[in-house]
Parts: sequence; structure tokens; C-alpha cells
Amino acid sequence: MKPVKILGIGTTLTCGEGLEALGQALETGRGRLDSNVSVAGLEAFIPAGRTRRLDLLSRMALLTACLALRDAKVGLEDVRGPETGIVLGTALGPQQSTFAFLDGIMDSGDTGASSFAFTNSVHSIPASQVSLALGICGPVRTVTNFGSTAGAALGAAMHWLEQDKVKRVVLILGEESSPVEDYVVKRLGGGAAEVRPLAEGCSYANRGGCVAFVLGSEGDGYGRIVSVGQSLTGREAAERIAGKDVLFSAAAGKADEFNLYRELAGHAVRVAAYSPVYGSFMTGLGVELAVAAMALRGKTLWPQPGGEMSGSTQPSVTPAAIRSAAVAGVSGPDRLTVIELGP
Amino acid sequence: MTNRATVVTGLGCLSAAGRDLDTAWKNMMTGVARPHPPTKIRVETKRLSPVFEVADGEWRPSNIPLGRPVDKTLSVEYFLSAFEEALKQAGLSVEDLRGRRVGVCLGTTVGCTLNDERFYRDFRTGLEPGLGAIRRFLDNNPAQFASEALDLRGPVCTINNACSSGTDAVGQAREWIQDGLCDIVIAGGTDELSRIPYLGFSALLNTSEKACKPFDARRDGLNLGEGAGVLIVESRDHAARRGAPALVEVGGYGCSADAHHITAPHPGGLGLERAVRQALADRDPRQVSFINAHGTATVPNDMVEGQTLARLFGPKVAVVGTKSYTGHALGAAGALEAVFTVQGLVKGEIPTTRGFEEPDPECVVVPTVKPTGVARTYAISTSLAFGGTNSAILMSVVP
Repeated sequence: MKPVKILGIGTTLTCGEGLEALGQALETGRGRLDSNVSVAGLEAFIPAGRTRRLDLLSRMALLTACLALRDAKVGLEDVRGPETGIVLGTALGPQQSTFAFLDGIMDSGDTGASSFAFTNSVHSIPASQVSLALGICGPVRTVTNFGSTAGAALGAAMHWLEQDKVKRVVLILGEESSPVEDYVVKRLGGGAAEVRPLAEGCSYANRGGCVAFVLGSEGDGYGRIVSVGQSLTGREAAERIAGKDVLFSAAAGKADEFNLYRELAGHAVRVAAYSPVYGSFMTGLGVELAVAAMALRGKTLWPQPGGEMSGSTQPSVTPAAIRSAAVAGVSGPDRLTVIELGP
Repeated sequence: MTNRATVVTGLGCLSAAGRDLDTAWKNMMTGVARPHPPTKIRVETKRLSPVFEVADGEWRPSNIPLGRPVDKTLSVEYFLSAFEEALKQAGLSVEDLRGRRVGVCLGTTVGCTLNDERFYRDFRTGLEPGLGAIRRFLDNNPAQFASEALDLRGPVCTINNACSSGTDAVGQAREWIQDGLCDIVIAGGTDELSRIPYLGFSALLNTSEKACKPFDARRDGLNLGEGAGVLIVESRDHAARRGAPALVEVGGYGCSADAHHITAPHPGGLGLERAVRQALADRDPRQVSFINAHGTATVPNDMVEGQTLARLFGPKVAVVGTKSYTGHALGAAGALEAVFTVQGLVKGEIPTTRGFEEPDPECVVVPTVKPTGVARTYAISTSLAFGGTNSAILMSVVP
């Protein structure tokens, strides 16, 4: 079985575009959650004329894919053809295009339906736009099942690599935000100015964001993905977390998930959760995976923004001791996703 | 990773063709189809296209006991109906699955899109709507719903690859079995008729005002449909251990992007050809017994698909377009067609492609014009999707 390694990472989050911006946010513990996600850097990779008809989620996906390829030192011309696959995980899909289509028929009647908005509202279109822009002709798949989206998407990518179907996979995990989501989150008691994931009285602050990974079997990178487990019970998750140097928790400040995350943390040597610097969104597990990969490569664990978990008894580890990690997220009632990472 | 052989032990379907597989197959083999103006949705368009609706009163919601009460969408109801049928054929009960590492992989489009018009209308006019529609949306993601409601502990995945979602879901089920992630996967797809794709496809001028005519020279567009197709996919060893007969082996799967155009297939069918070749692996294309084509009856799809299939399998290859009985059920389409492909192999016959009358030289292939006997070797089902994604699944008779 071929190993699956993270060879490159690209991000666009409220803290800015690229790993440098994310690294700075992690250092300071501040992620500019009052800002919008930027895609301005896309023009550095793709001429603006070729992306003008793309909606925001497609631009986010394409930008992070390009950033991840650059980080992996893979030229954009090298991914043309069938040896590269794309997996997109998005829980809510292209929200802005979905609502733009509805606006059209509500403003102009059924005959005012926009073919353009309809096309862009299809969840798989951002992955197809990446395929089209970069000439990627391998397998393309879009996964969309809320809290378990990231784990399912990663699992698909791993199969393609382990079975040697492709040379590399561009895995993209991301969400737009929208006024509708803002409204819903606020009604559900979220919509705070900051994320407090680990403390009693945690708070949820929905934001958009996108992260892409270049996964492959050859070359140096950020470490190896050992396994991904879905629909795990607390006991099964604890077994996978046991012995790992750090648990990167995708806790995003949702009150109804707090107890599960706290229980999980009880099995870890040390817990970190960086949603305070990137915000809360359904595929945020992907950002936590990126942070875990960066920590493994740099042997650096950033300070926990917002302080340690309430009642935490986990001892500190020296940064150099980080050789393995687990990334975990709640994917449903009493259900967990755990990704194991190693050198 | 163990590369275990993957078989199908149960089939279920619900569509305009019939409330279950026996009914659908009987209707298809006798050329019965019922496209009509939409009754479940109200639309005001210049071009009114007939649809293939699941007829109310001809199907009953499933009685499967669920772990929690949910206000279910039609997409989920359709899935449960097809799942119950498939489970029965596989000789399994829900209790056999609960708490076990059973995977769920389902394709959908409508079933995972937040497009509740009433909620959004109220929201944008500042009425501060209640969250019932949102909770319903969050509770009804098909695969997530099934996994949680049945308390399954295997991998779970809802695929939205547009029109190839159902085919890709069966392909992913095969991948999970190969990898040893689980022994059983509930695979397939489900979608209900909705105003949103109806109006969207109308705006794209992709729909026909008449009953669709796959591969016909006078075809002028698709008809939308709805329903669900479910396959119980297992490792061959697991099926053998519990004494369940294997209907077919899921012998191959391929998926490949065109990277050509966001709504039109590659004119040379290059992505489709790659997908089919992957599904074939080292098999002799001349041994294929038939192909259940995507066959939407749009001009470009059928031309590209027909030419590609003729190039790969020869112009005389047996081709059937079962959308002429179900309409285009979007996220369920590939699953329904996979079910019918298995059934064709099991029965050794395939139905007429309804509506086809006049061959189109541009399509090269000529679909079935009468119920046709086929060799019981292997068969392929193809899907071409929005965004240029192409998928193919190969079903093989178990020796």
C-alpha cells in the first residue's frame, strides 16, 4: 500500500491568503474574524479574464489549489492530464449562487431563472472549475455530508492514491459564508464575534474559509496520513488518539458538541484547537488538519488561542517532541472523525 | 487495503417506471412509460417539459424502524423505500446492520441543497422565518441520515457529482470494500423532483417539450425524473459467509474529467473514454453484453456518448437508454441505471429504448428498438455530468 503524504497546503481564510498569513495568525492568536475571505491572489496564478465568471466558492477552491501546488513545488502545467485527481468537500456548497438563483425567480418569476446562477449553484461546479482551469483530467468527486464531509473527502483521496489510480490528489475543503447562514447561526445562539471552542460557555462564530492539500505518495512534505476513521464511537476515537503527542480538535464553539470534545480531550496527551483564528465552519476540520501538518513539519505547537481547555490537566509538551498527531471532529450525534498523522 | 472482490446482493428502486424493481422491469420490458406535465411542482415557464414523477398512491413509505423521529424529505422517503426492497433481497434486516461497520454512500443533488423557497422568500423580505426548513435540511442529508438513523458505524458519504452522483456512489462503495473499511455498503442515489433544477434546466434550454427520445435523430432534450436506486454492496467473502447469493460482481469503476467545458461534454468524448477504459480494465470490449447509456436525449450528450461507445465497443454494441422510462433523476440517475444494468444481466434481456424511432448517423450507435436478449457476461452503465465529469461502472456476472 502506498503511503499518503501531505505535500503542499494552500489556505484562504479571514486571516489572509496562504500559509504565511495563517502562521502569523497562529503566532498572534488573532485571525481577523471581522474580515472577509480574500481571493485577490488568484490573479497571480490565473488571468482574471479566465475566472471572471466563477463564483466565490469556485475562486476559493481554485486559489487554494494553486497555493497548495506552489507549496508542493508542483507547476500548474504539471497537473494537466489524467494523473491528478480532485476531491472537493463542502458541506453547504455554493451558497451565493444558490441564493442568486432563487433571487432571479423571486424577482422576475419562473421565466427569470438564470442558467448561469443555476450552473454555478451545483455543488460539484467548484471542483469542475478547478479541473477546467488547470486541465486536470483525473477523477473528480464532490462530497457533501455536513460534519463528516472532510473525513469522507479525505478517505476518497486516500483510496485513489493507495490504489495507485493517480499520482496526486488535490483535496479541497471549504465553505462560503452567507447572510442566510449568518441569520440561521444567530437564531441558533451563535454568531459571536469570537470563537471560544474549549471553554464552558463556548461561542461559535461562523466564517467562510478554504484549505487545499496536495496529497501524494512520493516526496517530502508535512508528514503522512496514517488513517482516517469515520462514524467512530467515543471509545474508538479514544483508541486512535491514545499515544499521539497532540490532539488537534476541530471544536468550533458549538455548545451542543462541547461535551463530546471535552470527553475526547480527556484521552489526549495535549489538546489544541485553533478555530479562534480561523472561525467556525463545517469543514473546518480541514484547517485543523493543515495546522497539525504544519506543526509536525515545524515541530512547533502554537499557543492555544483563548487559553487552555476548562479544567484541562494535560501536561505541556516541548515543541520538538511532536512526532505524531491526531485531528478529530464531531460528525454527528455521538459520532467522531479521527485522522491520524505521523512523520 | 485488501482489494477484495465486491458483489451486489440486493437491489431496490422507486421511480416513475414503478414502485419496485419487479414492477419497473415489467413496465420497461413492455414499453410502458408515463411522462406528463408536472403535478408535484408548479412552474410557469414558456416551455413546459413533461416529467417522470413517482406516482402518488403507487408507493408506500417505508416502515423501517428508525432510531429517531425525523420530518423526512421525499428524497429520504424514496431512498428508504428502495433500501427496504434491496435489504429484503439481500436477506438482511435493519437489526443485522445496527451498530456494525456498514458504510452508506449515496448520490444526490436536490437532497443536499439549501433551496427552500418559502424560507428564503421570508428571509429576504425580513420576516425572520423560523428554522424548521433549516432543521429539515440538516436532518435529511441522505447518507448522513441513513447512517445515523440506522445507527451504522461505517464510512458515510453523500456525493454530489451532479448527474453522475449515483454511479460514483456505487464506485465509492466498491472502493470501501476493496480497502476493507467495511463488509457491507448501502449504495445508490436519491432525488426528488424540484422546481429548482426544473427551472434551471429550462433556462439552459436542455429540456424537451415532448417525451424524451434518447439517441433519436429528432431528439431535442431531456425530461426530468425522480426516485431512488439502492444496491446492497458486499465483499464476496462476506456474502458467501452468510450464504447470500451474489447477483453480480461490481467488476470495475472509472471516473475522469473532461477539463473542457462547464456544461458541455468534450466533443471527442475523451473523459468518457478514459472512464470506460478504467472500468473495463483488461477485459475485452467485444465481450460486453450491453451498455446502459447516460442517454439524456440532449443533442450534444447523445452524440458524444454514442460516438465514444461506438469507438470503444463497435457500432453494433447493444445500447439501452432507460431514462426513457424514468426521466433524468439527477443524483439518483446513475443508481437507478446501475440497478437496471444488474437486472438486465440477471435476466439476460434489456428493454426497448422508448421513444427512439429514427437513427442519428451522428450518434453512430442505435439503441434497442425491441426487448433484446443479451449474453450474461458483463455490462456497463455510463454517466456524464455537469462540469465535465464522466463515470462508468461495470457489472459482471459471477462465474
